[in-house]
Amino acid sequence: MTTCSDCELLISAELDDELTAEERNMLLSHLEYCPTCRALRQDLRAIFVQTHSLQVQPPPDLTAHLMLPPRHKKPWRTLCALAAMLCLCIIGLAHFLPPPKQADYALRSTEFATENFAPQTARNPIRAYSMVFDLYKNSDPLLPTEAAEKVAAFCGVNVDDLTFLGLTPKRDAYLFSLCHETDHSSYFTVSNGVVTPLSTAPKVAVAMK
Amino acid sequence: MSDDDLISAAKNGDQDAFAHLVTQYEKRIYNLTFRMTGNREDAEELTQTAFLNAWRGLPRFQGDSSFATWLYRLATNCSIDFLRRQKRRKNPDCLVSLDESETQFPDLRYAPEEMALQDELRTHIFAGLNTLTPEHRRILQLRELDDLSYQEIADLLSLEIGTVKSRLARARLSLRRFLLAEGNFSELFASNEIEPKGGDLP
Repeated sequence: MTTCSDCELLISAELDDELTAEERNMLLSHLEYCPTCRALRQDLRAIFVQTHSLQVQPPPDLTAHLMLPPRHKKPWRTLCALAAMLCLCIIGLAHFLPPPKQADYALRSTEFATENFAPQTARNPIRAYSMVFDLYKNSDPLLPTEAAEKVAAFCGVNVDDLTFLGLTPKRDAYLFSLCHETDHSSYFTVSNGVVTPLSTAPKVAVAMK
Repeated sequence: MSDDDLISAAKNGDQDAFAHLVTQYEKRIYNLTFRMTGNREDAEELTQTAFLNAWRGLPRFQGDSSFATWLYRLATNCSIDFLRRQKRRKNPDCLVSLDESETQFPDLRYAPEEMALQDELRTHIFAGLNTLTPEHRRILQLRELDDLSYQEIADLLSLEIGTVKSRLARARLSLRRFLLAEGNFSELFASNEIEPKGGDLP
């Protein structure tokens, strides 16, 4: 006679395709008359699907990078050579070239945002506004504060209640993050001075404790 | 070709054979390193380092454990070394040891970019996994995120297959209990219509 405790083990093993034919028969016989275990089986299957969806996809070019002939891989030598070349270039060019526009903008933006928005003090930021500044493609981006005002107006919240989370440099953009004590998150792009929600807000709902 | 054939060929310098092994295992290893670092760029670099170490270490691979288990250990060691270096850089006086079994999933609630990639249910699964005991969390990671077989998990954790089986079941029941209590799976859970069983295995 299979008990409910036995059945819990069998249901878990069934998810992993690790049941023998005999165990499968025991499980199915028990499930026929036990609605509680049937519900458990359905729940664990739902969790199984969701847990698997947490797997992240590697970048598409990862294999290509890995497939460089291993005998040619000299990471430390290559890195040292690159670092030396980079130092020489920086020393040589520093006197002649103005600072890069993007780096300068990022620095000014961070200083500005830090001064003008409340620091993150409590662990209760619930609404996160992420604004993607495509600086590399954009010659005249909005200041973060201007973008924040537009986003706040769009969402119907007071810009003074927003908290500055950080400015993250990306490959071809900067991610400017703000948060607000509500219960949803929204995403926006800021391009050519125009704030555009990425989808009908709120796009992602995240309940917080 | 089987793994054994590919490994033998790769040991003899066959890069195509090694490429097959990389294709087969890169997703698992990338998932492991991403989970440990919480950062895609670091994960990519550590995955490459792990495979580079595997290529160099192949002559020493005796097949005592499966290739997956061996590769998993290499990647775990790379990631732990990396995290230790990071920790030392941030706090040179800190001598806290790092144990992979104690690492948690990155908290994505404050990472707007990552949040965009997650939906609500998955965020709660992350939260639920973080509430499990380290041994339950680890065994679920190995099975469901890294796709290791029961035998590979048993080798890696030095456990009997029967223990792997029962620990996995307990971990799943704990996760379910958390999600039911939080009420986040109400539309998915059949047990909302039935008195939920709260009990663990004996």
